[in-house]
Amino acid sequence: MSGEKKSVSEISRSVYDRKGKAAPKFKVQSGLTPEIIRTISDEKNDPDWMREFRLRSLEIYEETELPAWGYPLDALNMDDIVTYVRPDARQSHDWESVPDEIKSTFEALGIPEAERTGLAGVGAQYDSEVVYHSIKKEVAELGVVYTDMDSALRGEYAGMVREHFMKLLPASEHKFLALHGAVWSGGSFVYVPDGVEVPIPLQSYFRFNAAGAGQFEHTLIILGKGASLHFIEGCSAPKYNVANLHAGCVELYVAEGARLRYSTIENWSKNMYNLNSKRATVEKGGAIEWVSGSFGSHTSFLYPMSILRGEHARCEYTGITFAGAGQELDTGAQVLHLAPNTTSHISAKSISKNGGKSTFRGGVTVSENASGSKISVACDSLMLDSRSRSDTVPVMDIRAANADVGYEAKIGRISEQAIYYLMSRGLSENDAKAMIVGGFAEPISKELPLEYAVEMNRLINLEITGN
Amino acid sequence: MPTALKNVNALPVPTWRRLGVNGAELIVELPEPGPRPRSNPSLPAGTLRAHESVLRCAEFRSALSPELAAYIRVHANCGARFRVKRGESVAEPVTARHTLTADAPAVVDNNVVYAEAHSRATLVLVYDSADDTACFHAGLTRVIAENCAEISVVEVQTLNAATPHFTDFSAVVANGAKVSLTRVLLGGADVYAGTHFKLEGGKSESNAEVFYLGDGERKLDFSYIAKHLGQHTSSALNSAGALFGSADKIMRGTIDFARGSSGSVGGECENTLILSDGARNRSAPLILCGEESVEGTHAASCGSPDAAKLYYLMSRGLSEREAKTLLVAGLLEPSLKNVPDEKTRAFLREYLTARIK
Repeated sequence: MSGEKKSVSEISRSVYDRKGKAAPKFKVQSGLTPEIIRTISDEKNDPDWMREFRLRSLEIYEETELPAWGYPLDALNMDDIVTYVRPDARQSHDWESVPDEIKSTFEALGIPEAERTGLAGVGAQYDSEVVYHSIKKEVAELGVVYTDMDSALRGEYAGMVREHFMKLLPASEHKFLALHGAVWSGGSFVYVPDGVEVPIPLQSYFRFNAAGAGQFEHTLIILGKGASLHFIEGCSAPKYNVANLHAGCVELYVAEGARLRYSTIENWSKNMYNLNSKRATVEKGGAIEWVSGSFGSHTSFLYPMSILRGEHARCEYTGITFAGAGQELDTGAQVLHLAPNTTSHISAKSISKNGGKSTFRGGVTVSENASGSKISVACDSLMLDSRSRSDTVPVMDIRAANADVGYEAKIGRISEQAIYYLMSRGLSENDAKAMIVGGFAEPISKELPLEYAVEMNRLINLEITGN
Repeated sequence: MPTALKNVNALPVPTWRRLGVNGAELIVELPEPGPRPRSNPSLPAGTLRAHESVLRCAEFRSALSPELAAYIRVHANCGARFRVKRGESVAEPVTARHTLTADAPAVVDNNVVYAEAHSRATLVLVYDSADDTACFHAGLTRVIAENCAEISVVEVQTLNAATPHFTDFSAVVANGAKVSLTRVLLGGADVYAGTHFKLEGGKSESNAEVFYLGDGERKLDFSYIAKHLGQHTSSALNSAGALFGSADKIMRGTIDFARGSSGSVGGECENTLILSDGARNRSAPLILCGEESVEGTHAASCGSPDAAKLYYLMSRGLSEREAKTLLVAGLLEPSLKNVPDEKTRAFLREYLTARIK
């Protein structure tokens, strides 16, 4: 262990920091103007309604103030952000047809291998466009649709897309949703018919390569009655000295008795503003399960919301945030209980180190109609040094008499006794800390498929030990 | 003249506006109160009358509203202002009773307690109404507890349903000193209560016990901030209450560990019984942490009374209403332990039971 790095200020992220050298085929000018929006719309061959939607969203963006809460966003200047970058690649269903430069990036990230070994389908986006999309034949034969959003917008499911697109997360809700509505590009569309259970997960991976640009993919998943699906979202980018922006949007529709698990391992580079929005609506007896690991980005605002509309609908959120040097991660979850006997369980953990700042922000609302609902919220925060910050800002709004709400939060440090014990068994201090933090994160990693749990533990080790 | 008050009981870290907890905005008729006869309480041996200027050595922060605190300081028509001599342990509480009447409908009290080192004293503030006349109360209580002093402030409020109650408490606590605040808030029209503890000295302590009752269309709006600055400081908040009718309660509780407050411990515990469909309970329990070696905990439970407890009580012959009343009364007891005289404790138990009925 003597050669182990003791400093974690510059950890090795060689896989993630790999910069693609191929020039993009096209990109718009930086900034936001109606002309830029029209150019994006032309490039994407939008239907008329979408073109109008984009322009209206831009108007909303211009009328809307920045959030009055959370970490400052002053350093994010939209005049410097390129909102659309088309890579020099056509979308393919075969990795061999993907240009070598791009393919090798995804290979380094392990995506084709994961597809071969344990995924029902993969979507891979590079900058603003999807370059690879496929679904296993046997899954497609069940009637499952898994395609890129552009194809869905113009194909057989165009009506379904129009009916659902930005209805759960309207552009008027906040400034960065309005921005998304104006410049969105890429993303995935999933439809699982009634009663179909997809046995292995689908995965979309969003890779960001261009410096000073934004990525605005849109994910729309619709589950029919009694359907089930596990969807995995991964994302990463190389580090640049200029700000990058990610403002994606995820809309999930879970019908009666359906079950959706949405897992995310986010590992954006530390120059990224990650201002993402996610929301699910769940009908009677349905379930949404969020599993979330946030490791990267300079600044994150991410609070998946679950709207429990039908009786006995339920939601689980299990998330971990790791804030290291220079990071300000504001993450959490929101739940809206609108029907009787609904259940939500939020378990959030955060780790702050080397001056990193993490905030858990939560909101649970139980409406007058949600009698008999049960809510539990648990927040655990670990401070690894006194240069860091960890805040919890939960709010519970209870309007039903016979709801049952439990909340507990704890902030503290790693027990010196536990470190001493492990060191007395021969571990270095860093390894002892990594082991304890790994145990702290275990409730989240056990919710992930094995490969992703390993990846998450590896990221924790990277952050703690620098190895 | 109506006055607009912004950010009353402001949350130290704002959150989503739609939740409505960032701070209240009010239009309040702030009266120019007339003088009150016998407005200042008699002081027991070991204490001395004091001027507000004794507080100049500390910096206070209003959790309720700086504007309202400034109004109270200018317009106060009564108040208990005293210092406790070094090393004195004053057994008899200083009691200020404010009964609001049609003749003197406004009480604006400015209370000042300066506890010299190693002293000990209790201040009891009682607010009630002589009749149903709509009156006005706004009070400000500031405490300095020097090294190893112990101060307990007990506030008992049973105002009528037409009288608003604004109460603002802040304390600066030095090395090894301890300040306790107990609030029993059973009456009043809308109730706004702010609490700010500044734990400056090493091993300083604060303790807050709050009981409230909300019924009708009453608004209960509370904020509590424990700012840990010194090392090995300790803070605790226990808040309990019951909501009936369409009462609307907000509790913003913040434990703030500043850098340098190593070894400190802060805890908040909240228990709210919701006994009507129209009642609304909002809680914003914040923990802000800029120091590694601290321990902050928060636990909250909210909902209808535990079915097993109700069943047990009803199986002993109590009606459902009696059983619920007993459970609510049980929540009051921890606060009553700090009320120094049995007569007041008995009165509060009876008052609560009558109000629930």
